[in-house]
Amino acid sequence: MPIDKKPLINSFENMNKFYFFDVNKNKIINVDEETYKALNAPETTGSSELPSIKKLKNQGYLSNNRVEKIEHINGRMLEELLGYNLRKIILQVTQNCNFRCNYCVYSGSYVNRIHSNKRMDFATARKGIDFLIAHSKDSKEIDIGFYGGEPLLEIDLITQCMDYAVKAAEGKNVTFSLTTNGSLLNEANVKRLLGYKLRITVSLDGPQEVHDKNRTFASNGCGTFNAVYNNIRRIVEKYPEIKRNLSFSMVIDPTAQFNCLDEFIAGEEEFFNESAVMGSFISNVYRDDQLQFSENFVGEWEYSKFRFLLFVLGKISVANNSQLIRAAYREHFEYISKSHREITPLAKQDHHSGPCVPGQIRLFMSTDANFYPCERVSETSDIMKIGNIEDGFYFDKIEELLNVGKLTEENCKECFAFRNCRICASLSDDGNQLSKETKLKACQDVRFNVDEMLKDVCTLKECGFKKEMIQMTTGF
Amino acid sequence: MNKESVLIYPYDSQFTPLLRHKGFVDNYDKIQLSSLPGWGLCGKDASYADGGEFIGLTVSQEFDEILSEADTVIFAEADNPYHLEKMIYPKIFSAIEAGKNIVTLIQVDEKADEIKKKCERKGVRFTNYRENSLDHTDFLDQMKSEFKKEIVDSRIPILAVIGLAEHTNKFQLQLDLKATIENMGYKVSMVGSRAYCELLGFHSFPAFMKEVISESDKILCYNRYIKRIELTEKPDLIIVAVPGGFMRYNNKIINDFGITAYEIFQAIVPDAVVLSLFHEKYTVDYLDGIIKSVKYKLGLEIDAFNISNRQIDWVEMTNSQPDVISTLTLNPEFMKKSIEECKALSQIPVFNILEKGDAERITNLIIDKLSEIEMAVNF
Ligand code: SF4
Repeated sequence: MPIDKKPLINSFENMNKFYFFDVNKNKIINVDEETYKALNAPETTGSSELPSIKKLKNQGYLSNNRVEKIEHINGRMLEELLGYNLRKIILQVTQNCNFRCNYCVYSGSYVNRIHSNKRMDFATARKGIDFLIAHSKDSKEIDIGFYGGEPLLEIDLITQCMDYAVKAAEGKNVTFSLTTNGSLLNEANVKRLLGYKLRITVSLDGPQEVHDKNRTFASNGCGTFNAVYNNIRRIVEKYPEIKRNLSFSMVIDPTAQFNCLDEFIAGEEEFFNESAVMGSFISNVYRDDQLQFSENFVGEWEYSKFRFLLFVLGKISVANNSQLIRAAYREHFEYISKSHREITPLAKQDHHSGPCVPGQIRLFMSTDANFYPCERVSETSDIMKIGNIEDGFYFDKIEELLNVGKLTEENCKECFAFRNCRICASLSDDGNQLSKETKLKACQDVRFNVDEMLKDVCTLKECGFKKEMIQMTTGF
Repeated sequence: MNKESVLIYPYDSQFTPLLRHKGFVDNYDKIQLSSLPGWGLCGKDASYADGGEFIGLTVSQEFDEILSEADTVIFAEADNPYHLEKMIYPKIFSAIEAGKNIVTLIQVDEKADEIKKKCERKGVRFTNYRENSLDHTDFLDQMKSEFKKEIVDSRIPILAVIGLAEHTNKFQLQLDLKATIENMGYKVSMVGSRAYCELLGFHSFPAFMKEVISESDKILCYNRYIKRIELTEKPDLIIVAVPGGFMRYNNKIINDFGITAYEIFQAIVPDAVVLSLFHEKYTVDYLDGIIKSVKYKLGLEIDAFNISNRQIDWVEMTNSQPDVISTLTLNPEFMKKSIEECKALSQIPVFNILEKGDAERITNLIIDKLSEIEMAVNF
């Protein structure tokens, strides 16, 4: 059968049962072995179709409908989305930092991005805030973020910006956010930040031995854990209300032990309760060398995930319910909670999920007032420069970044992960250009993860999992 | 008579249809607009709010500074959320202090008396268009006295204007259709979809439809209400607009489950129907689904689609699941292209009321249809 006449599905076995995931329907179907084999036969021999397959086809499954052209629907309305619907601007108030973290994109392990003394002045920051207000008439609320380097080195500028924004955006719900290493979250600074609708994200990587491995002071090379930990303890004690607006970002080092991270969060119940903990692995994007996961780490991680599933299913009572593990199941639960919905088949012109409109959701403005899609991309990568405060947006570049699927057009048209893909331009940037090779490497991960997710979902179903359990046991 | 100078506050897209309506604009010598800076309209032409044609009035961020030039201040209803205590009342009181007449389209119930007293003291006019006094008793009493609780047929053609949801430029559509039909020499009565239509010289959506009376009484009252308009105003045509939408959007945004629309179309049977939709990249199947839904839910055949220059903001709707539909404004060039694409798909004529000439084109289509009906030998 010519490939484009084949149904667009991913068939798989799980716990001695047979399934296929139908991309057009975004649903998993459990079939008998005979049907499964027929679906996986290399070619139909011309013999008549199995009744089970006929029935599925009648119900709209097993369609060979495919996207014919990879084109993001939002590419047609970039002027509107970026003209009336900006959500957030992240101001890089300084490139300077009092830490030197091994994996920090500015600390030298990454291509080109390094710390410097560049800082933003108020006039530039103000233009950025005005730009956001002037481009967000259709946004229900807007957010102004402060990023560095270490942004609290510029606390005067930050408070000046917040005061200005509250006035300048009167009538709109305006919130603020700040990503900090926590070392300057002392009482004096915190006092100045109270009273604003400000969310603070502190980078804390785990217990002292883990945190200090990667995060040291620039001045003396000593570990920073104690300074951060004690600061947070002190301010939370003094201003308990701040807890709700505090979250922790944990950069997980896969060369370390996972258990000790997990236990740290579970053990510091009082410290972390009410605050969100977001875990992410050290990024390999833009990195000179590639990080390898230690065997121990993988084993512990998988085991913890497994125990979490048992907990969710009520099979074990001890809650290995740490926020890190929960985050690992976000996609599963997202899929489960929407699994009953009927969705329209793939359009003739469509784009895989993953990219957001560059700049719309988290427009990043560097100290020298250039625009980037978000804070995660390297501001030294020329293709990621999508405008600046004087010229506004470079729509051609934005359209190219949005339509990153075109790089791998033929692969995407045949890919079962099309609707659950997470790849955007940042994962396709090799430092100089958007690269098909770089993107295809990321594809392998995505496809592996989606396949695993589908299998996990089937396992959960087999074990009696119900949609309602998501909320009840996991706090999602 | 000398025309007044008027200041509109807080200005946003909800008011823009009035600025595009001769019947409103011609009443004033000068119109000034003041908005809140966070709404993103200040310093721009008023048309920036709805994305339509240039209007020629710049939106100001100032209020007190431009107040002196106004005789009257209209406190308008807005699409953006606002805070009465912080943003509206202080401005009303300072306008009264400055000796300006006050018009409220915004609901000021709790302070209405205070405003009234202050205005009297200061010797300025206070007109509150939200005092919609039309209740059900009139109609129910009438039916009781006639010993008849039944529907009466209308002898006059009715044009219905409905919208799939809020923010589909339905108000603009009503105003433009009314004006265009009147320009052709017809007498038009209209029941608008908003609560302050008397400001523009036609009827607001009647308050009894929101009262706690039985649903069938609402239907009967609405039927009598339209009949009364027919008998007292003797128009050639009645335009009936339905507030809100008629389809549940999701579990949270329910558009009153289309109950109001259903009741109205139990009360009256329109002779022509225009439906306003959000912009979307429509497919034949989707449009077909809408046509069927309107047909089987409300019993109506659609004569024309008005595709608004607003599209649902899918990112916001999926990510934050807000309580109201969040939309994005689309530019005129984009709309032109998209409407052409849509025309090729649709069996029903497609228009965009913000496009020059489309009000006339819809009107011609409706008048053609209605005159066909008139040619029939009916009694
Ligand atoms: S995983 Fe790769 S091939 Fe599959 S949809 Fe995503 S980008 Fe395309």
